Amino acid sequence: MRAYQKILSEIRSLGGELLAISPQTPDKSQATLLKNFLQYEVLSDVGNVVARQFGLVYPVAAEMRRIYLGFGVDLAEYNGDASWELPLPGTFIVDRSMTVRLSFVDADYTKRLEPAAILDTLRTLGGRAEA
Amino acid sequence: MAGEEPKLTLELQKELDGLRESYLATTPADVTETVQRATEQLLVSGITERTLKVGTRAPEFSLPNAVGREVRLSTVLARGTAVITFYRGVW
Repeated sequence: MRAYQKILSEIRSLGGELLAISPQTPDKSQATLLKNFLQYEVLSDVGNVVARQFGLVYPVAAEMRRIYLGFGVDLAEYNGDASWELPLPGTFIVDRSMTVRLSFVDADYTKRLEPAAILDTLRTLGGRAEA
Repeated sequence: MAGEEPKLTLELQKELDGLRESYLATTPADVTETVQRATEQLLVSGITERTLKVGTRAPEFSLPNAVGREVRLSTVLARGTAVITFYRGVW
């Protein structure tokens, strides 16, 4: 989340707007925003409705639930639903015609998209926002 | 008041050290192995083949932001390109 904050001004100067989406309730999203000094939209997708449309939702395995609970993380409470489903971390760039221009999803949580790849895609789209 | 501060700090430090020690003592084998196993299961589940790909049409959506105001994708796209990042949450 902080990595995106660092390139936020570059994203904007290339005509991009950053939206972060998680299944957490707006209250929890607000906490995330404040704790990390984020200056972009943090949206609340309770029930993973939008994440499902992007094909990202998976059920948390029973043995992983025990680990989350062991760390005091009750996803049912954080997410406001009892499904214990989560989205895979993923980043998409959608152009003005609603077409996906970059799609990065990895089931391996240790791999994240290089922020530079986002800027490269925005540059190739070339669509500078009208100032 | 100022005189109490070092004591509080020491206590906090002790608590943090205690947390770290218990984390290191309890985490190793079981948790790290479980996380690894769950990650591998996700990878073989084929989920990444079903995600939205380049060239496809994104779904329209409207979601509340951190202060409860609705943010609509098409409204964002009227201003520019959308960079959408999904994350599990921050706990």
